[in-house]
Amino acid sequence: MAVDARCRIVGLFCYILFLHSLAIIFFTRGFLLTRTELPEFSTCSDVAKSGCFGKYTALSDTASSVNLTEKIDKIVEGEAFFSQDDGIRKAVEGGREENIETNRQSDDKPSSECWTKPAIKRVIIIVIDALRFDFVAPSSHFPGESQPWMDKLRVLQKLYKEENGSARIFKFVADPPTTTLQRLKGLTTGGLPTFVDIGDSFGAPAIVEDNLIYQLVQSGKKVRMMGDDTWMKLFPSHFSVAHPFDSFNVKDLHTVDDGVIREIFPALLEPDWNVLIAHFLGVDHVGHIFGVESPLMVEKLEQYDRVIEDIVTVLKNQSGPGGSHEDTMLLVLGDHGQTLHGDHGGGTSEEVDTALFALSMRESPGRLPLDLQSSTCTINTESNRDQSPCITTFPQLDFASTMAALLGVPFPFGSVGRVNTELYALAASTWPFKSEDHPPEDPIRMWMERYSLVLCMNSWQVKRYLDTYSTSSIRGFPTSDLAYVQSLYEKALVNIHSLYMDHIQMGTNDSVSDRSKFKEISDETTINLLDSIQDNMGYLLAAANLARTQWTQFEDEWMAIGLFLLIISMVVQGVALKRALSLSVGSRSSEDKNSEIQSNLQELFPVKRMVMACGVVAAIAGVILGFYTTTGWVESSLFATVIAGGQVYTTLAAVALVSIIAYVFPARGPRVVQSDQNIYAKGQTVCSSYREACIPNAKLSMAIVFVGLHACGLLSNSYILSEGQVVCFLLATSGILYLRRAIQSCCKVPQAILLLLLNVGMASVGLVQIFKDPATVASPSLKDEHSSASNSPQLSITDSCIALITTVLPLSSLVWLITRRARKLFTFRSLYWAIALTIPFSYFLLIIHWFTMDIASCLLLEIPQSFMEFSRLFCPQLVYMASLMLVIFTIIKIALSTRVSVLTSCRHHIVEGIVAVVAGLSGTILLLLGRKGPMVVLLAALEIWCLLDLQALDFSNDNATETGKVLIEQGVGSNGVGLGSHFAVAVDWNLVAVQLFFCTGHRCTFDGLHFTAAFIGFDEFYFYRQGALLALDTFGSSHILPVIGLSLLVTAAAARMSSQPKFSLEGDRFFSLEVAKGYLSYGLVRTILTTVTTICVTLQRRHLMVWGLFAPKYVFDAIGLLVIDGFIVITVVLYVSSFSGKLKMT
Amino acid sequence: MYIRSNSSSLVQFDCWCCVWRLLQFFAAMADQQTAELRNDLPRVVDGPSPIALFLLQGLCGAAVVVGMKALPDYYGMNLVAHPVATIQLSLAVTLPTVIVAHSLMMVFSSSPRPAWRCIGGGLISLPVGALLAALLALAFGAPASLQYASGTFHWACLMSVLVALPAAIVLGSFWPDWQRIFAFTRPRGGMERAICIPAHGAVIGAWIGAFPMPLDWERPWQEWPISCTYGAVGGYLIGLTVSMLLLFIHPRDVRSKVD
Repeated sequence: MAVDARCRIVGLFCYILFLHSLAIIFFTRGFLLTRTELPEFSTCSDVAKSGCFGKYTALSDTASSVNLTEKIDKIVEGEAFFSQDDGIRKAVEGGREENIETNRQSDDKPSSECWTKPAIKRVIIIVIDALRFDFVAPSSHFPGESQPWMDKLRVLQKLYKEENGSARIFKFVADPPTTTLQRLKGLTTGGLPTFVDIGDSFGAPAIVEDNLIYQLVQSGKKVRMMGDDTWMKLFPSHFSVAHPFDSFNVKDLHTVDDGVIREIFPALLEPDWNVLIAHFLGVDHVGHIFGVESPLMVEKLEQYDRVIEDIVTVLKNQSGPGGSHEDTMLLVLGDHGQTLHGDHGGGTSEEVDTALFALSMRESPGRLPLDLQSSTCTINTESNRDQSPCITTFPQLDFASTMAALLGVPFPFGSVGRVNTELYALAASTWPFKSEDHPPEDPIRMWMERYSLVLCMNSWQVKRYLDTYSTSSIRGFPTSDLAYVQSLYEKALVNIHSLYMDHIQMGTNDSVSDRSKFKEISDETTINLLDSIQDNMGYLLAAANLARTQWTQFEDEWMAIGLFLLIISMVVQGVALKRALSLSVGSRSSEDKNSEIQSNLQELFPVKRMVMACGVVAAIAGVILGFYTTTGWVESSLFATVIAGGQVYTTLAAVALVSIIAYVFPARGPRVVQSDQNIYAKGQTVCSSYREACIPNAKLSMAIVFVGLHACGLLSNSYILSEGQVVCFLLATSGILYLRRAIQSCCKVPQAILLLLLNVGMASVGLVQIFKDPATVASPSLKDEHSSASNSPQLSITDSCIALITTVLPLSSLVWLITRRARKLFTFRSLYWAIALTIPFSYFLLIIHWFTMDIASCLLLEIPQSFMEFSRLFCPQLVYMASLMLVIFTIIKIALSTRVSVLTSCRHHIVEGIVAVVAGLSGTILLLLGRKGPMVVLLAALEIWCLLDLQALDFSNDNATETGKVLIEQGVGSNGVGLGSHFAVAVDWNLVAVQLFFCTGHRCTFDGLHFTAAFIGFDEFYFYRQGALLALDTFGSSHILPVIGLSLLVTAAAARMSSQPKFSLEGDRFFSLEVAKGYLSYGLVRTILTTVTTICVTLQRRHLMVWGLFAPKYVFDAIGLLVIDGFIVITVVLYVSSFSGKLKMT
Repeated sequence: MYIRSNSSSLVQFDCWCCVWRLLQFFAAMADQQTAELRNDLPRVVDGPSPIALFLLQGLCGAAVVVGMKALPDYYGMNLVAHPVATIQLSLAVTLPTVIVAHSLMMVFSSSPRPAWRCIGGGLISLPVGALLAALLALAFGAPASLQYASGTFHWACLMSVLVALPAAIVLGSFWPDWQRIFAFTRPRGGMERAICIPAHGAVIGAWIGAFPMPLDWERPWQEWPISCTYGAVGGYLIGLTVSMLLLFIHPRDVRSKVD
């Protein structure tokens, strides 16, 4: 029976883990948006197919298309645009100009103009990560008083005001998710990267789609990159020269920036590049660690101010006629913004709004007509002041197309942006050149002709993309919307054609040089041109909106399946819990019920039934799948693979569903009823007492109220934000109820009061950390850096003294507690000595580590470098090692001892094991948590002790009542303390765990992750090692330790039982069942909460805060649930195996 | 502020004369009635009569309403704009009313207690109860910063007046009675019910009053002591109503259980 029970219990938890992971995979697939990436690329020759030239041939059937294209080209752009550079030779080949660059590479890929005529030759793109809009825009632009970080990039504002016409500031609006990788992808492809990539943010794959960098490389332009190494992950082989610097190390504020500054100035003087990308990371890192308001941010911005000023000076020196930077454009842009706390990733305006500064080295001769300007000018501040003209909005979507148009390369295939009017107008070469022999009559009109042609190509390219996408992806666009957008395109196209008809006439008239007639026509043409531009813009805007709605569209079916599975798995857990309870109740009374126990145990996890059901379904699905693949193969391979991919998931879902049905509905129904009847037969008293024990009592109802309140809180964004406080509140309520019960039974009152007081302590410690206070959240070393940078040394000395006291005292009391507890408890002397030696040792190392850091930061005395290195790197590594050794030693010891030990109660072994493992892990976790860690952990340990002690209340309370006495006499329900107790304890346990999560300074956001914790003890970055440390920091104290320690509750309950001599033996026997019950209820509570989060995410998926708040919360909860499930399986295997070994002995 | 509270106490003084006479009259009547009742049913009811209890509770309720709403309105204040001042004002009305009314009940009850003991017990219980309430508020996550200290203090005083004060006057320092009423929620007799139900109402009301505080509605009443004060007063009034209704529905000794 024992082996069987073991297998079944472990199997049950594995099954639950499987269900949860399946549900989460399904939901995540539907929720985190995906987009099919098309592997197609634009080429130079494509553009001939566009309606801008081609459709016209249909209108006039006499001439050949080539001729007409030539003609149009001549008319539209060739008319007066002479190349003004001596180094550029003008050549006409087939009606097109060919610009041969100064570097003159004319091998297989001639650097001819491709879709558009290149307007600028060189671009310097300076990307400043997390550049807030108010870093750049003048402070007069914002209401309220000027903040310290505003107006720090003075050079940009100065250029913007002084250089009339050649410098512009735009409000550069990103699309969420606003993380660097997604934004770089969006900037270069002109598409809308979706949230599903966000997991790749630290291990990014290369871009497979068509993009600006690819096009530049294809047309023979040289791209040089320096700065953030995310570019290298996206474009591993595209750059001619690259100087990447590591971006993961958040606490490193200067390496990337210093490297870029070192590399950029020599590069400016070199001629062998066309596009220079310099990506600064400092602002982002300062924001992450210290927040926007810190003085370091101002320092960083002032540094950039100097750098940009130097760059501009260099460029201006070279920008004279014939200089290497004559046709150069300088762009300073942010990839995304950040909140005041330095967070980004979401869709709030602070995160989305960033700035784009553009400076053309040559002043553009013309001004845009007002019609075009006002159409894009959305923000207008103080229009009466001439010095600050309006700052227009520039969606980041448009960046790729605009840059492609300016540089004269094909637009990326998947771009849905449009060429921005003002940035295009900023480049001088887009304007007709004023030369003597061809005085341009109307530069604006000519510019508009050129621009309208560009827009026409742009529209055609977007239309081609939309058409291709809707035919080749699984989920195309909604047909009605697509049809509407298409109609807009048709309209724009018709307008273009009528325009060209005019042009042809005009072109012929021009030769006659009838000036008055020309003037007339030209006015008419201007209006027509405007119309055409407006139509094209309307189409492009509509297309972008369509794309935006499409790729912020969720796959509802997947989400529904995932949610359904999650809810159903909750039912499974509930049913399993109920069966486990009925098992312990029903099988208690006599020995001859062994068969009944057997069958009940089978019910706990009916493997055969479920396997059979699943097998049948899987077989059916396999047949269908095979059928589909064979038939589908014939039609098209792509279709078949897509169907097959979906089919696997559907099969999995069906298997899960059937297994659940098989689990929940027993094959032999009457058996449960029979056991009930047995108990009824025992008489009225037992019956009533049985009911008393099993029917939800007050405690259970309170537990349900707690879970309900907590769950309801998850439905609102403000409660999610203040979940830490909500949990404190609920825990305090629970404490009040314990106090009430303690007063009722007149014992353990001090413990209950202590629980409340500890809650005060946790709340106050937690409150300090929940609000991101840079000094406390950042890792110790950074904190010291910060304080020494900003404060006087005296202050930091007192700070460090306080820190020392608050760490040393809790640490020493923790050591005292653990050793004292261990001495009392442990039967294994070796284990006791191992703990008594290791724990003080590792805590001592911790203190040395922190203390030397403090002293070094205060600069009190010079510490020898070797000792510094020892305490900075070697101490933490030793602590990790000690933890690992202790855990392994404990596990081995426990596993071995079960074979050897005689009839000592195995509960003790379990308690010993738990204490040893927890104590072993505590060193590492304390180290990762930083200086507030010891305080919080001490408080939490005391809180848990109170909670454990208070569990005895129920029992004594039951004892006092008459029904309780009857219960004990009859031996019914004394082993299990009833559903209420189990569930209520699990609820309290969960509250403590969640409170720990928040009190240790974590938050449910990606930027709440303590990246700095991953670098304690290590300087180099290895993905798995640092990832493991980060995971341990995030989930260690709040998910892993509570799961390991949960069986303490069960042992505490069992210890109460063993005071009754009658049940001590049987208590042992069913102890594994007790453990299973405890874990089942804890898992149930967590599942309920995760399910509510998931439901909330489903309901709020159109909410403004969805990417900023709900999605991270969901991701954290889902991962947390899986972590908990996984550790439950591990610990259950451990405990249960040690039990069954023991049982075999007896 | 000081002048205002002074004048308010002057206004109260007038009220108090009337109230005092009324109470004397009713208490005497109640005493008479209980004496009659005792003759009929010797051991079942030994508390004051339902009418006296009704009046007592009505008076307490009226005092709370006047202190929270009417008087602040008169002086052009409200709880949201001037939380501390309003609570002070309501304390100025409620504290004497509760002390005097309950003391009178006890002084003129069938088992009389000396007036100095009643008032003294009440006055001692006020700071003790306030301290406990403040500590509990902190345990529930009330902001611990100094700018909220005044608010916390006044709220705690109000809770003490509503919860601890009547109980201290009526129960004295007899621990089992406190345990029975506040831990088991098993009041015996109308008098204890009149303490127990409103006190629980006030506590639960304050608890519920904390719910809207984290919401991002940006309303001024979501500040720390305001919504909890509303909740406590609302809960207290509901509790009063319930116990007053119970006086008529179950006028005799019923073990009411409210949790």
